[in-house]
Amino acid sequence: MFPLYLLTLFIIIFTSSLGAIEPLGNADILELDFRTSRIQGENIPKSPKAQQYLQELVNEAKEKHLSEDRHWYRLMRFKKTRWGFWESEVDNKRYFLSESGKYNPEKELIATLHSFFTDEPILDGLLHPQCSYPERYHWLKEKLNFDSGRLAEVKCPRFEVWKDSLNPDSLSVIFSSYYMQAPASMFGHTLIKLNNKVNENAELLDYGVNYAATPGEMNAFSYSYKGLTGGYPGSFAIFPYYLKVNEYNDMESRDIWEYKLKLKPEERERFLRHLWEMGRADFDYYFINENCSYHLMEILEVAMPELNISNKPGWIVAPSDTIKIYLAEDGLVVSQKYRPSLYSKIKYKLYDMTEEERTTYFDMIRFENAFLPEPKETLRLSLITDAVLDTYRYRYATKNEVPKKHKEYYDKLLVFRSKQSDEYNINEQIPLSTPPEASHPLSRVATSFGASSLGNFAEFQYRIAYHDLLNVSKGHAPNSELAFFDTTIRAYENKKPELTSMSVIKVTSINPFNSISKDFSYMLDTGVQTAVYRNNDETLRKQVGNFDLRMGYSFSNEFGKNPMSLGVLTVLGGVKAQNGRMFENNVRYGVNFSLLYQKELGNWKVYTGATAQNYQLSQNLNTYYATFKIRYAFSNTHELRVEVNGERFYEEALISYHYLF
Amino acid sequence: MGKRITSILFLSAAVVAVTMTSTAVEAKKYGMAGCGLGSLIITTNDKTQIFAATSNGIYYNQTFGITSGTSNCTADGVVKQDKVQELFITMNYDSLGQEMASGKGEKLESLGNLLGCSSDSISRFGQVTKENYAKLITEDSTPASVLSAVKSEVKSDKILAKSCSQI
Repeated sequence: MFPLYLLTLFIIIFTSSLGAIEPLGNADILELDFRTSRIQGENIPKSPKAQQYLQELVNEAKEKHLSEDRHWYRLMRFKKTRWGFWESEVDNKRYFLSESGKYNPEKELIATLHSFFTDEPILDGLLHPQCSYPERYHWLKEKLNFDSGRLAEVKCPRFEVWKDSLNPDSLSVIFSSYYMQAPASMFGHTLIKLNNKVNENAELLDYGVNYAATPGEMNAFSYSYKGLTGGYPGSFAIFPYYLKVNEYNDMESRDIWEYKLKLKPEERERFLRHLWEMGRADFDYYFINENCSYHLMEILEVAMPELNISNKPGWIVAPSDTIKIYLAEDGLVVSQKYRPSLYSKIKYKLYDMTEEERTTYFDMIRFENAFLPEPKETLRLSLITDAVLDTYRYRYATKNEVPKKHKEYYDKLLVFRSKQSDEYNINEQIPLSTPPEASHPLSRVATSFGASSLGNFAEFQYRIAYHDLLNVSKGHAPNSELAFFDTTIRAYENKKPELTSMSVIKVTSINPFNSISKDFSYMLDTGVQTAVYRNNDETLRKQVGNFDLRMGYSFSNEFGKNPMSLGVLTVLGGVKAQNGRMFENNVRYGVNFSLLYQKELGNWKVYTGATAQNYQLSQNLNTYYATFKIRYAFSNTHELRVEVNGERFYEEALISYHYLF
Repeated sequence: MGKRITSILFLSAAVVAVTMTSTAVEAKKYGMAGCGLGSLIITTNDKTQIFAATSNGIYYNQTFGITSGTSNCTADGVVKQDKVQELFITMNYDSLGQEMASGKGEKLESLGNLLGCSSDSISRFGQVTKENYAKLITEDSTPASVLSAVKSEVKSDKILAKSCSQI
């Protein structure tokens, strides 16, 4: 049968040569590129001399076992699978010149050599394989000493122009901290900035390299699921760095940390050549491991062959952990920079203000009165106005609708600001958050002993990741929690060990509510818990499925002389549902209401709270929970905790030792 | 069997809840701002055009791909030279406006840089944009009109006219 793809190819070539129809869409050109590459991978040059040379090169490559070279494996992202064969992490076919290229390093290398001999004219919009794969070409040329008399070297103007406009002098790894309003971004994010010498005083004009998923038309439902299971293709893109600064610093108010890496000239060239190749590659995107940070490490390994880092993180690749890995490499990170978020910038200004200036500021950010302050010797009007302008941008950064009156006030303020001439100076370089490398390790084991109204017990806890309310908050979003598979196994005296609880996902995001920031706080816990209930005067424990979602607001003295010194008070309301045979109709559910308080002071932290739970809706008994916990941290990796917990039919007190690794 | 169904139910409930709280995840596409449509988008005050979804980089746009061909605005992901200034103003419209009003800031310096102003004239550039702020940005300004207003102000300033090469 006549191959269908050839037919398609002919139709595309034919119609595009007519020039009478619409230019090729992006999808079409990618498809055409793919088909063409496969043909080029099997290309036999016309002239017998070239055929002869190709054969010689193939033989030499085989003799030298080039396809088993570490650099080739890295270029192709080949990894040995559990079953012992090779597989490339690249998941789209367009990256491979050979049909079996994903699984066969040697065949792909031979196909690459074949393609370099392509002497057919290159269609509009496509590139010669020597230009599509500049790093493959460069490396093979070096290893096999290509004779330019026998293999014609092709000029690659598009690649050269691209390379010249990026022209990095060094690279920086950029870490953007947590965005608490979106759980998926609590991991933080990393990208690479290409530091061009021309932009030395205007770094925003540099380009950034970002690896991200391509969700296409997104529906919130499939997003989490696909993100965890690799359902989205991920790929590399380059952006002007200011777009990323806007997005993270201004829109989402995340602090940014920049780590400049040392880069030798030849590493720089290799990086650019390979990045260009990566434009063709798609990967299945996994939040947990094959994510942004993982792929950046791999691309850096190609650029710096002596670097060996991508195997260092565990099966969870946390962006903050990769920063620790970069810092641990000798001499790799040469300098470090902090870029405060918009919210942090407002705070800097507030901390610098006098009481009187503050009062004026807080009056102004109500926007309703829309007044312009009267000049006064004791007021720095430019400082106050700048803070108000920042606050406006902060508040409306992500909103589509701005009340007309507020917008008018903002415009008026801008003109007002342009007429102020007093000066103020604020040091924004003392970070308001802690850098990612200060964070504690992700995994945790703990062992506890306790006494309860049902007897003494011993307990073992394990958590894959990430951070809980009592862990040291350095390097994490303060007073927040994100845990995967947090598991507790407990054995009561003279009883068998039981699975006490397992949270598949537990998220607590505590955001201060104040006159600047109106963000809400929330808490989600889902998995297995142990319910205590009473049956014929006997108190029993039983494992039940658990779903708990609460939302509300948190309060703290964020702008005081000693910010957060009074701790954080949180009020939450929500729903909780549990299923179990002992409940009426096998399930109990209802609304709940909690009051929580936490405060961290040096190595100590206190966390306490009470929750009232109404189960009447489901014809079950109402209950309440109360807890009081104290933690002392010896270091980032060792903690001691004491806690007292109580609920309607049960009380316990325990002491636990936690080790983070 | 019952247990399995329950666990599946709870897991999917978790997924729903997570996605519910992450409204920011709703990706918005970058407009082709600065390449013809920019002014239109900005006057409708739709700032979400540059509100990319967040997370581990759940965001992507063909416009800035690498080697995926060319578009109005970029070639192989690099902004075309004749669009550089306009795109910069479009994408930084609000923060740049604020910095122009105060006469200083990183974005304003970057704009001065894009206009080819020598580093010793950057502070002068800030002063000029501040003094003329009310002329440069008005309610119905567009990125393109702001750019040409800034350029003409720079041209009419004796010092800047000499030290800014890209006007």
